[in-house]
Amino acid sequence: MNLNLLSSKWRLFPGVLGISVLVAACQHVTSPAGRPVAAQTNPAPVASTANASPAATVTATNVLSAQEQAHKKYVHDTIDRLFSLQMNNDPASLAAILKEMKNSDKTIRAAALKATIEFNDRSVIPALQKIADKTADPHEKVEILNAIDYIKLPSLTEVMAYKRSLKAAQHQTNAPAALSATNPPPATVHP
Amino acid sequence: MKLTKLACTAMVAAVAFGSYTASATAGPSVVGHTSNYAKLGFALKLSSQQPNVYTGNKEVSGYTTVKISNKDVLAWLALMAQTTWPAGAQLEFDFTSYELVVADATGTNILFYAGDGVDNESVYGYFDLDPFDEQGVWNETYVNATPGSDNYFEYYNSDFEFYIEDYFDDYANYMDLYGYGLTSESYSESWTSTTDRGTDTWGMAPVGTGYYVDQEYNLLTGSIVGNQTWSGPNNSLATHATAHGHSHK
Repeated sequence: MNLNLLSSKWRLFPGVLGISVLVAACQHVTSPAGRPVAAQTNPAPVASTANASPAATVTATNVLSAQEQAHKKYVHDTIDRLFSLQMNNDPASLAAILKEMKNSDKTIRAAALKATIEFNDRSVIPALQKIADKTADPHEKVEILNAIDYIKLPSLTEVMAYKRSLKAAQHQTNAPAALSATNPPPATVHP
Repeated sequence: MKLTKLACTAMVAAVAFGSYTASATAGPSVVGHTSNYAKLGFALKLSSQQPNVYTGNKEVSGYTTVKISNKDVLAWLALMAQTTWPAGAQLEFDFTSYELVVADATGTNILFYAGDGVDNESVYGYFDLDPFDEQGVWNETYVNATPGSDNYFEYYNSDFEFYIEDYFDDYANYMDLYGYGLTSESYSESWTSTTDRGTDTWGMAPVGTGYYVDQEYNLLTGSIVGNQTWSGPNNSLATHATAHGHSHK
């Protein structure tokens, strides 16, 4: 895909250079030597069949790439922060996670939903339900509803704690029986 | 004289008690360091077959499901390591030791190597996780130059096993869950002569079975996601993609 994109940009490049040369000629402005031409113009909408140098095309590609890179970094930094927040237990962290559920970037919203799951607090369900109600994208809506179902599940830790409490209760109820089998009950209990 | 001896005794007792208290509340110590790691997010479901219910001549079978998220995995690893984790402890995949680890809130201080696990008179256990066990197929654009870049999307065969025998608790927490999975990874790295930065996001879809306490028939499904981002001087080329099991063919 990247190779195709590059090819199409190479095809656009002559147009970028042609227009740049034309604009420079009209304004009697000369670009400083070595300075990227495309960095001074908007490279996106330009298209013509004029001749251009490959260097200018590469510059246009780099400008676009830098913007993409900056956004990519922002997305990953935010996701990285969400991964840290999800391991906390305080309301402020949960609020920060929920705030990212309203981010304009879909990838961040998806990561925030995962962080909400990891936060493991059922009190978040009403807020998630509200967000689901307002979500237009059907796929995203289903993801949120699935997350709600997941959060509602008992956790392994909870189930194990329950099993331990049952076991402890069983030990307690068994203890007097074992005692009575081997020792006479205290006189104060059974006079 | 008696007062002096009494004072000395009290001081020794105080120091001893202080030391005991400090050691009891110190928690796990840092056992290693890493700068090449991915933060993990577990969202697993463990379904267990329940005993049949008989009503007259009717027999009904069913199963229950529990969730296993990061905090559950941490709780089980704490049981295995016989410790408690400090606030902010997190699960990571460390590409240096190539295993699941527990790190403190900084992310770089390793508190427990879960892949190595524990083998002592109280517990035997480990959590073996390999999200990049075998290379599958991939799309890649690799610019082998400076400045250069490497972008790929790849599928891997992955595997895992979580095992714990707790002698100290009469096997009350015995568990052996294992299986395989499909990992999909999206990797992006770019570098100049002085800088190197990149991002790596992957998701593993495990499917497993095994034993869970006293339940023999189980099914483990869900997802494990990893996220890594780095930005720094160009001294780490070839430490990322290759560390993930990826190679240029």
